[in-house]
Amino acid sequence: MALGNFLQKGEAFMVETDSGEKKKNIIVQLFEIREIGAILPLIILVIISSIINSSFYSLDNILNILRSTAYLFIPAVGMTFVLCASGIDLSVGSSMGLSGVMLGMLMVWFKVPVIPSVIITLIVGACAGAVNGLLITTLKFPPFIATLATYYSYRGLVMGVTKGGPISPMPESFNRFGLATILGIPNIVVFMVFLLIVGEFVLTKTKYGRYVLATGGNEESARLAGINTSKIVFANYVIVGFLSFVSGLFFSARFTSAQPSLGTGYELRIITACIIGGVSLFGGAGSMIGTFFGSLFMIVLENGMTMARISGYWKQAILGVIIVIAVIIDLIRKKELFAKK
Amino acid sequence: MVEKEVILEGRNITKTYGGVHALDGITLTLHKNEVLALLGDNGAGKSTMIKILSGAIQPTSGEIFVEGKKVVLSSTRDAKALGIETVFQHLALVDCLSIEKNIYLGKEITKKICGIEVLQNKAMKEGALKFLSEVGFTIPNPNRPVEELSGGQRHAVAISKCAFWTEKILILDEPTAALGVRETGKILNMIQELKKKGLSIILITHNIEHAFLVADRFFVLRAGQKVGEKLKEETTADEIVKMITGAIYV
Repeated sequence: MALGNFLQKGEAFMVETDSGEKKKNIIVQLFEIREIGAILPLIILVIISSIINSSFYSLDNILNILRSTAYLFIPAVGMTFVLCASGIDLSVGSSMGLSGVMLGMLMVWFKVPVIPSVIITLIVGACAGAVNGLLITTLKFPPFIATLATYYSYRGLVMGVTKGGPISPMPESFNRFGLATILGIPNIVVFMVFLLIVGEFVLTKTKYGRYVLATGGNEESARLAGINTSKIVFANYVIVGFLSFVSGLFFSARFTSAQPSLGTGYELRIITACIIGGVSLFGGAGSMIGTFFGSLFMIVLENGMTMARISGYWKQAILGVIIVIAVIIDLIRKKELFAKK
Repeated sequence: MVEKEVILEGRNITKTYGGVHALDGITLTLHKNEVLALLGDNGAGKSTMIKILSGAIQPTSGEIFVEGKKVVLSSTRDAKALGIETVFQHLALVDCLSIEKNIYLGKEITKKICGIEVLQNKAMKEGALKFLSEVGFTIPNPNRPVEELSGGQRHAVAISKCAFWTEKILILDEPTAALGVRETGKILNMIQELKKKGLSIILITHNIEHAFLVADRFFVLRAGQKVGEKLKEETTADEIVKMITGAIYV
């Protein structure tokens, strides 16, 4: 009796793996780095950009790139949590616009002092995210539909209130905050680095991060393990709403006006940055470092093309190709493509 | 029959769905440190029985005793608090997480650093791998997510995920379903190791051969009725098959 033999031997549970034990070739190893989809094209892009235009490496240009990256990366941190838990948020760009207009209304129209205005705006930001969270967890809306609705609602609110025109000028002290630097580095860049460290820590070293990944991997199993997945999902949308408002706040402070068009198109750029950075489209995997490199890539591409005097229209075509490549890498990593079955 | 300490007892358990008796006054006892095979054909009531014992559903009537004390299991959480862990057929793993992250899911080890709870990933990995090697399970590359493991390995992780958290009762619902011969052997081996660790195990299976390899006692259900209860020494595979199919009606 075959089974009996196994039991008598009492051998250890040595399970031979078909492909796992073979020495992996270097290309497979490379693809297992989650952030590779952003880092590799980024390196190529930086090389090309610096060849085409020598001023690419100027401090001004580098700070400019980092500042633009920050506007994208700050909400992208929240988006990474959302995507890791198998959600999506289309309303981030509209939330950025709403943030600026809230600040404009409070400071310019109602003459509220700067600090209370900022606090009120950030609270409204968390509430804007909470609306998404409630629609998704309580009313069981699919995330795509819930955030599509708020995408239109928030932008409509912004346009309705401002009648399409900017609110300016903002108080001088607010503008000074927007232009301030710490040791020569714009404070938004300092904040971005801080957020990168905190975000990565939360995702990998706290229960919250672990539960986000578990919820994205298999919500039912996560719930059976005693995790309150609704609470996790709700919190994710609050975080992304809040961070979108933070990004809008930095933008308005720098340009000292509330632009109703602020954030238009950012939702797709942010999602693209996350995907290029290796956040799995299937949930359950991602990293903040990857999202950072994804965001940086988006900006370097735009910056490099501007400096090379290539029409901005081409940018979208290139982005499309990059997204396809990023998803193929994700599939290879999940061994759903080119896998020996 | 030698009188052994009873760790879990379902007394006069009845479950009706509408007019149908899924279980009809079944009394099932599990002794300390034994493997009890719960056998029966499809629709015999095996799953209903273990769902009741694991707190997933409530009986229409009947009582449950854990270590002699009457208990009410209104949820799987209640059952877990009493040391009853159940591995269901769908395994309940999170595929994108690694072995130790699955085993510790929802019960992570953390350390407070500056008021922030920080996950102790290294301690969890050591704890998980130590447990796995104790039950005869070594795995070449434990960092891989469980979706990359074989069927048998996944079953073993799912069993470990429950066995790790109880020192009392483990209920296994078809742990060898859909596995190859070699992997089945390894899972059965693991069940024996868990018994050696002192666990009391209820094993649901369709396969008489598997039951005979690891179980100490057999409990046969048919159409919600108890057909028989035999010690391994008292019976043969042939007799058990007859009990399951209804050739013997007790």
